[in-house]
Amino acid sequence: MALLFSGGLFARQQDFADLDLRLASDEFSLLLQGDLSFHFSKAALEALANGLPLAVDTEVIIKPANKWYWQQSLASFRYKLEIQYHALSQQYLVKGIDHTYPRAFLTQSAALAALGRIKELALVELSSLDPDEQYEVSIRSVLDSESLPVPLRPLTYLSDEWRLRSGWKRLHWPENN
Amino acid sequence: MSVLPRLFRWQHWGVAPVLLLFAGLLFSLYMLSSATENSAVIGPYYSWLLLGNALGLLVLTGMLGYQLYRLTIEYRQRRAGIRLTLRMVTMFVILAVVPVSLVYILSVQFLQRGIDSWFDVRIETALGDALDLSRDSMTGLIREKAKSTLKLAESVVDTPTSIATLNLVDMRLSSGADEIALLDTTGHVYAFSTTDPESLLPNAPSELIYSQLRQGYPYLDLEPVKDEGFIIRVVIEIPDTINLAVRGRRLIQALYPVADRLNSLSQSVQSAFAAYKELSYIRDELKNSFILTLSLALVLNILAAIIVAVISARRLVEPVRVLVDGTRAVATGNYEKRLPVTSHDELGKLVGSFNDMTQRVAEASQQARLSREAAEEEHAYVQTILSRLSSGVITLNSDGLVVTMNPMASRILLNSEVDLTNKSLDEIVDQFPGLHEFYNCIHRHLNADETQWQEQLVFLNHKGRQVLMVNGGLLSPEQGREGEHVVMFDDVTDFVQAQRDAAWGEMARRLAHEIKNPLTPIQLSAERVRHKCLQDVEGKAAEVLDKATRTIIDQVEAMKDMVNAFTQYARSPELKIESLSLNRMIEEILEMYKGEQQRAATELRLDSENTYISADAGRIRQLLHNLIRNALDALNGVEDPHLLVETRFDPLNNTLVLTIEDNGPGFDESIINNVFEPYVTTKQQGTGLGLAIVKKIVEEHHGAITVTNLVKGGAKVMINFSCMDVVSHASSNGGLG
Repeated sequence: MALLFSGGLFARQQDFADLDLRLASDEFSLLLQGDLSFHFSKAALEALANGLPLAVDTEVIIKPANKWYWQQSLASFRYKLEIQYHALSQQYLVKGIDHTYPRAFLTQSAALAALGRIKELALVELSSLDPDEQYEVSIRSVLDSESLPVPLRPLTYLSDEWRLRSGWKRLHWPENN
Repeated sequence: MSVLPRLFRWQHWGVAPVLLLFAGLLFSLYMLSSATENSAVIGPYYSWLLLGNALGLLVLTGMLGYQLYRLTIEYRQRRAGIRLTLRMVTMFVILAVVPVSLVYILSVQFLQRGIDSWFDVRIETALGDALDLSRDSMTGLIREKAKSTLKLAESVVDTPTSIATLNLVDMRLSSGADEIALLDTTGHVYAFSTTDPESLLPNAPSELIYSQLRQGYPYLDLEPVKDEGFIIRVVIEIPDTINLAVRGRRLIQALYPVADRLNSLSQSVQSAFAAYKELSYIRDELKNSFILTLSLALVLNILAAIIVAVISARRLVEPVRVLVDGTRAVATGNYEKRLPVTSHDELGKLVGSFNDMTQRVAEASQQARLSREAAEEEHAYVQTILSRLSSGVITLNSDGLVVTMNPMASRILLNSEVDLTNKSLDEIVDQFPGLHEFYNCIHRHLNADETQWQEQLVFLNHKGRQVLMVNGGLLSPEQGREGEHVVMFDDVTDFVQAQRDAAWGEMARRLAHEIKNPLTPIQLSAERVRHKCLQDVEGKAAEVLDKATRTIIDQVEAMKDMVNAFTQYARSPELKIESLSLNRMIEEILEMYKGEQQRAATELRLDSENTYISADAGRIRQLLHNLIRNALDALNGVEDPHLLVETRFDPLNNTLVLTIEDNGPGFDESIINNVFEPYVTTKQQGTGLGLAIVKKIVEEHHGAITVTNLVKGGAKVMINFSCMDVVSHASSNGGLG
């Protein structure tokens, strides 16, 4: 439902985030790393400055590269990233993908940078992947309007400033030569 | 219709589905409103609730559209009760919509004012001040902790890192910090001591803090820990005089807990300020959200009210509609219509009464129908009798219009079947001038207000002289035809003529028998007397005897001629009907009178076509002789005598009209009406049988003869013969060879 309203069906803005991501692997897992640079709208930033928490849903889908669209994916995840201004400390609290507790940042830009930073996020175990198959990892970020206060939600269904989402970033593993 | 489709016709379920849907939507709206107030519990379902409400309203709108569509169709079809239904719907809708709209408007105003009242500058200022106060309070604490941390840093100045790390636990315990870490400006951690036994890594400062430290500024600040209050982070560069770090310079970081009381109060201030700030920011959206909920409730109410109004109005009007249908059925003559009694209220009783009424009307109607059928049978019976009657029957209303007329009436009067019903006597006489005498007769008796009258009417028409026995009478009110007059008449022309012909025939036969027999002995005796005695007497006596016997002989001869003429009139020889050309016959006869014609100018106008008739040539020849003889006799002593013989085909009646016209003195007016009767003549030497024989010959050939005096002087005899058609003429010619 959240995706339906916040990003799936009605979302229009495709440049919500620059997804500078890469796939890597360690001994056991397929890893995702890189930065998500978010471009919040003016209304969203104003809401952030007024203490409203902004949540970003990042969806990751892993499937064999030659599978059809409707075929079942190998794995899919949704990560919620959240940023909020803390008035008393005059800092921004960030709860990112790889952080289990919030971190405080003195500036908004530092907080936004930290929000999208992904350090070696384990996606799937390498043992579950077929070595002869190429896999496609699709990543997309959407502003989760369902996390906004209820009175704001009708507005998010109608306003472009609140319907924020990125395009799909598609990575392949193993990478094409 | 099967049961299943009926079940799916929701209108049969009445208002129950609408009310169920209405209740569901009302609950949904309540939840929607609660979601606005209590975001944590119902908030996640807000979108579903909104979608559900929208779909519900859509369904209600569809229901309403269907109801309005049905109303429109029924209005166009002028269905019974539709106007009453519309009036009731309008009334119900007004009753429902006006108060709800009023409440809505007032609610919106109260809502806006109520939400506005939440926000006050003083509250905002107070919250801001409280926040500043908390911040100041925290700042003092931070400074204190900064001094403690500075002392810790000074205690390890120029102390090798390996030795300093041994003192970290003591330093943490002595300073009251939760965590103390020794690290450098590149982020390298040498050692740390923490109260959290599960922590494997220190709570590292952010890049920004490192950056600040690299620029030579210490970092000391309050950091929120979500849902757990605050910690104070102090990071200070250790003022080493010698470089003891791996890279960069050494740092000491201390994380101090905040006292529970201060933590709780600060957290409370922070929460209140954040909540107020958030509410203040979404103030307009909050209003809009409530107004949206209210608006949905308003629309829901109005839609449900209209639908319920339509369905209720239909149910209320249904018995009336059924009654109207029944009334219409009765109006169109369907008295068998029975209405279903679906209720036991006043309307149910009304329907029951209507059924009783229609049953009685049906019975009365049945009686009336039987009576009407009997009357129709009677009428048909009378009509049949009238059509078989040999008498003509005409009924006239008080305005002189012909109400009924049997076929024989027009056959007697017009010699053809012409429908003259619904025509006035004036119109009839204008159309058929020959009926003028008949009209005068009836008109005279009608004006005399006679209840019963009888008259023998003699008049001339196309058939010639016609004698009618006319009876009339006023119909009595008891006969149901008040003011109407009935006229019955019989054509007694043939009867009267036959009586006269028989009388004259009998007289002629007796005359011939009684007179002719003694005439021969008288003549013979007179001749013998003359022969025997004339030579025996002389002188005066001989002269007297001669004159007397001659007179006797001549008069006896004349009487013989007269008796022969009567004999000829009386006898009725068998006709030898054949096809003959009337024109040729006329030319032959006129040739015989050629000498006499030289005294009179004779004009022949003979029709070139259709001059053949079926007739006895001898009788027609006698007819022409008599007429031409009469005409020539009439022209004796006339200056500039003129004789016209004309034949003319009348296509209308398919007759050949023979006209013989002279410019003599004409018929004496005293005898013109009886000119065809025997022994009617003004000629001194005539037998008075010429025209009687002519008429007899005409009648033997089923013709008609009329005589008239011309205005310019002279007489005109006109005879109508039935003309032979082409086929019969051809066959007749063939037969004659």
